[in-house]
Parts: sequence; structure tokens; C-alpha cells
Amino acid sequence: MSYQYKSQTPDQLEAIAAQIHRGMADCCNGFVVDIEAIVERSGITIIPRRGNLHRLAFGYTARDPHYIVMSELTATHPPTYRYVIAEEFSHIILEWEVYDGKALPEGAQGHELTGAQHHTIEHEANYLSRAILCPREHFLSQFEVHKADSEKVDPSRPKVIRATVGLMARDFQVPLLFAGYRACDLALIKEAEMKTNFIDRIAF
Amino acid sequence: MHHPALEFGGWLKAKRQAHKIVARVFAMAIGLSPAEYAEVEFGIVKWLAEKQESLIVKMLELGAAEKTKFLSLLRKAREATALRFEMLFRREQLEPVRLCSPDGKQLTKDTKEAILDAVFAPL
Repeated sequence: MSYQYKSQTPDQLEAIAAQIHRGMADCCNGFVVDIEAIVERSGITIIPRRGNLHRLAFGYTARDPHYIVMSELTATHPPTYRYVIAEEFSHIILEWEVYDGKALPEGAQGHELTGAQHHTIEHEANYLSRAILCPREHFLSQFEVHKADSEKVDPSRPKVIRATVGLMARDFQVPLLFAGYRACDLALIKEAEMKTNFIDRIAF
Repeated sequence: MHHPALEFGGWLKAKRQAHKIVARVFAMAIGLSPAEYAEVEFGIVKWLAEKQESLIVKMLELGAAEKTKFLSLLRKAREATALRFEMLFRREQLEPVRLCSPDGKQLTKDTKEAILDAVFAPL
């Protein structure tokens, strides 16, 4: 029997993130969610390693659920380090049955997944990582503040989007594209605007 | 496995966490890279020089009695057989299951083995 991944809706993923924020409230300082502290408090140890790892993986979840292995080089850019940790943590949350210490379900290994499964699993882990690092209500309110301020400087939509998303990335200490995708998740900017203003311009 | 260096690493980790400092930040504060400091908490104490000893005492605000305990645990760790990363983890244990890769591609069997070779390479 092939592995059956239980897909989650965006609302379900937002609810999971909200539950984490409530349970780890003292790890959420203003706009910045201390994902490294959340992971440690969850009994997971982050193992940074060096060398050739960076060409193969920025980070990964290990077969033993107590460990997330990270490329040490990623730590030189803390927003990216935080995003990768959040994404790997999201994998553990979303597929706990894969990590519960028993034998891996048949078909669940990374190389055994179908292309469609891989895409869905990665898409949802990425969504959940954004929801964790950029709490919905804080993101919505702060986006409006920065958008209003940006419009006073230059009302042109592309400039407002780039300025606002840049400030959001700063406030939440996440990579620029990450903040942009979060804005898309919450329908604050359109996907087409994301592609026009960011993807072709800046490497993630 | 009981080993004085494991006891030292565990003690240090508990103290750091009690001070609510994450490992990456603590590493920088005592002049180690994140990978070196992670090994220290696993009991690989070769990365600790006099500089790190005094910075750890300062960062963890160790009083006289705790400083004595810290130095005693560290001495016992150094006197014991030196631990290495490959003694502490099995390849199967750190096998990648889900991956954030530079090219966004799916994990393959070959990539899995290459990743493990990189992870188990000495720092």
C-alpha cells in the first residue's frame, strides 16, 4: 500500500500555527517568533554541520525525530536559517506518523514519494512555516501600517508592494520572498504581483 | 552510554536552556561556530579553550560553586576517552526524510547517501 499523506487546508494550517503560538507564547516576542526556542522546547535538537552539506541541503528532518540537521552556512543569514528550521519543524508536525519512531510507512521515504505527493507535502510545510513565523493577525495589521506609510511616499503599486514587503521581512526577521509569499497567502498581494516584483529579481 | 563528556554536555545544555539562550546565539557569544558548539553539547569538548571557558562562566552567570562544578565536569570530560561525532550517532538515525534543498528537487537515494557522508565528515 503506498503512503497516504493527509493533506491540510490553509485554514487548518493557520489553526495549527495559532495553536503553536498559544502553547509557546513566551517564544513570541512582539513580531519575532523564536522558532529555534520553539524547536528546542519541543525536544528537538538542531545539528548544524559543515562542508559539502550546503550544496545538497539547507536543512532536513532526520529519521530520528529528535533532530533537525542544518547546513551551518545557512546560519550566516539568520532569516534564512529561521525559515529552514520552521519548514523542517512543519514537516514533523504535519507527518508525525512518519517520525514517531516506528518503521517508516511504505512509500513515505523522500525518494519513494510521487511527484504530486512531494509537491503537496512541500507546499503545505512551506505554508505552515510561513504561518508560524508570521502570525496571521500581527502580519495583517503590520502590513496595513507599512502599506499606508509607503503610499504616502510613492503611491505607485509596485513601489508600495516592494517597500511594504521589505519592511515586513525586517519586522518578522524572515527572507524577503518569504514575507512576499506570506502576503500572498493572506491575499494582501496577488500571485502575479509577487512574480512581477520579486521572483525574477531576487534569488531566494 | 554513560560517559563524563556526555554528562558535561548535558549539564551545559540544561544551563544554557535555563538561561533561555538558543544554541546558535550562545555559540556566537562564546566564540564558536554553531557546528562546533553543537558538538560541545554532544560531549565533544575539544572545541573549548580557555577563552570559551571564561565566556561560558560569564554568559551563564555562574557563581563560585557552579563555576567549580563546571570546571570539574569539564576536567573529567577531557580526561575521558575523546568522543567523536560518528560514535554518538548512527547513519540510519540521521538519515534525511524531508529536505530543504538548494534546487528544490526531491530527495533521491544517491542524494541521501551523499548527505550522510557530508554530515558524518569531521568538522
